[in-house]
Amino acid sequence: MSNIITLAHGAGGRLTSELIENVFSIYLEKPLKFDDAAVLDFSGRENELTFCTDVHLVKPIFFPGGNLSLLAIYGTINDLVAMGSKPLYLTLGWIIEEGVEISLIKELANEIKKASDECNVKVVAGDTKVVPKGQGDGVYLSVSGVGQKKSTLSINSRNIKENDVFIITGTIADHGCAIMLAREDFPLKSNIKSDCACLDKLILPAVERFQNEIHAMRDPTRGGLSTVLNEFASSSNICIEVDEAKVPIKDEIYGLLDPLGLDPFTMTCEGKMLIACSPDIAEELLNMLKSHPLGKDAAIIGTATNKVSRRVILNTKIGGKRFLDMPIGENLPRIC
Amino acid sequence: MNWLDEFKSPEISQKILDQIKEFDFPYTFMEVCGTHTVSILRSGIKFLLPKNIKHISGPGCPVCVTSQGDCDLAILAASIPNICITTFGDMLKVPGSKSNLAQARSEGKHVEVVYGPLDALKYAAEHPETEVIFLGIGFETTAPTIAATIKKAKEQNIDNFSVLSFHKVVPPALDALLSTNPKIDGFIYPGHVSTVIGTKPYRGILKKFNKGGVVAGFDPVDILSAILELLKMQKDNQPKVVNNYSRAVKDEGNVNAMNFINEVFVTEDAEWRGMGTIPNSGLGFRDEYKKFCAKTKFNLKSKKSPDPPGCRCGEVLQGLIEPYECPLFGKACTPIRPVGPCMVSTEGSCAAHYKYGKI
Ligand code: SF4
Repeated sequence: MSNIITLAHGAGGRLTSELIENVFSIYLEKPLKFDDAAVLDFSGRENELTFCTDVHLVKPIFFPGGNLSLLAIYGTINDLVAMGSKPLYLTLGWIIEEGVEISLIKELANEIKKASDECNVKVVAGDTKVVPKGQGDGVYLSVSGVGQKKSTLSINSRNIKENDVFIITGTIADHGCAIMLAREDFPLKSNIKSDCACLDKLILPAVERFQNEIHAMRDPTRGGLSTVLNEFASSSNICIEVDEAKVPIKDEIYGLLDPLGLDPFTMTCEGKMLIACSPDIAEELLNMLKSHPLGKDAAIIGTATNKVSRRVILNTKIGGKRFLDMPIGENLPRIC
Repeated sequence: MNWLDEFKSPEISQKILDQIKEFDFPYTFMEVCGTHTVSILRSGIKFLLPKNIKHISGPGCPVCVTSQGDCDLAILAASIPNICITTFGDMLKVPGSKSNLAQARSEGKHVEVVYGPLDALKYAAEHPETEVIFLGIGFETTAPTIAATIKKAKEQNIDNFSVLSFHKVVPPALDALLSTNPKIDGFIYPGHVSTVIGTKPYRGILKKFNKGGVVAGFDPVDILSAILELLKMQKDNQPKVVNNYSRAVKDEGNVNAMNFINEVFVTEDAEWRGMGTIPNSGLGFRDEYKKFCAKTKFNLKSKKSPDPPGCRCGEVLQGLIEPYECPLFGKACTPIRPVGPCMVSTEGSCAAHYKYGKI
């Protein structure tokens, strides 16, 4: 029906995928695939460069467990880490609305400094634009990142094979719930915090140890775990079967989302990685992840099969089976 | 185990399922609440039931039963100068005959998503220069809060606030359903609506049609035990009204909430999408509150508008066909480009079947 961009095109689910496939991929020379970062081809070298870019906006700018700067820096780093690469350099693009207090920008800049120091990456270039009042929504932050990976590694979403095992590194839906609760107009309050975190120290040692036994990785941000699972299933032409009971979800998150009719599988995470690996190393990898504080709740949640190609099947807690689909539009609580 | 976890317990669910499998006669039950529809599909219950037990979904999603003419009216209201339409998010994508509210918003109409009517009233109080219309969609569950908000608007003299009431009440719809679909053997009554209306209205329907039902909660154990209860009453040939959700529903309902509804609203005939006009199934304004009625204030009149060609929402809503049986299902009609409202709302029968599907 719609020939115009609606908010749902930015929600990370089915419509975002359609926009990428039907618009960007057609007009831009190299089709934009579903991986988080691109590998830049310098044939024959031992190491390759990886490159990624992302635009961040969040309301409120400071929320329980994080803020816009952490989200932007960690998010970019996690995109590079998802390719198995070590993050090295970042560039920043600020879009600031006229009228924003300089003290807020100072605070955000300080958070960027802390986050980049923590992750040992350097911010090497940047740009700032100010838009007239009313033509922006506070502050937008665009971050690009460059990393380096071994050229022998081939971690990508097209590499998943039948019998591969899927591991999620911790509980899902924390960030999405924290943001929903932090919104001024949201009628409920709770102590749920965002899981916003930088995953290099959790993931890169595992990549170093297991190398090509890790086939694909992705951090389930917008659109949540169900979107990443569906993108994996479709890129690798496989079926993914997930056991609902094994997916780690905090009780309070369940208690919040259940009555609102919202699905935890579609809620954003900002500090988790979904990993597809060979079954031979799954247990060892799981134990390694669990030994790190950011991976203490890691769990094996499913396997790749050939049942229904390019779909995700959820084995429900009570023994039923159903499809797990991508979310379609904005995630909003239902009427009653 | 926490007592609430018991209602989700896989072991208890399995035990009840085993008992359900002992009944071998054919049985068709309908659940009348969208949240039940989603639970039944999301937990996989629909496809765990033995073949002799058929499940059909009823008109339990307030968005789905909002007529195309009423959607057109909401879009028309959005184009009145200086108007802000405030609505629950579910309504944005519901198709009118040519457009929907999401599209109207992208074209520059002032449409705000709110979490409740009080937020809309607050918005009106803070923007006295704007006329704020709240879309009153929902069953007995949402009507009391909207009524309370209208009362508050009156007390606080907030004159730039009004409600476009498309509310529906459930019992007359059950009556209409049993008149058109005799295949329904029993109901799972809506859990949320029953917290407000209690169980008494169902007794009248039992008397008239000799069909019973069970008020149930939304967890798998709730739903499976309601089905077991329905089967037992069918076997004993003793239809009744059973309240299996006493942790939330009292037989007399929520008297306070009903008082709010009755003080502000009065029942009137209403148009249900695909089901036509059902007598006394809508909520209009009492004279004392007429000045908050957006239809009166802006002289808005719903026009009947035929459903889109090929759309079989009416039959889906009445349980006469399964969503898969609509020729548009999953082809011309998907949640991304819904033709009918049953595909729009996450609680709509077609959307739930599309999303959770048959494997
Ligand atoms: S598939 Fe679409 S058109 Fe057909 S009944 Fe369902 S909502 Fe209506």
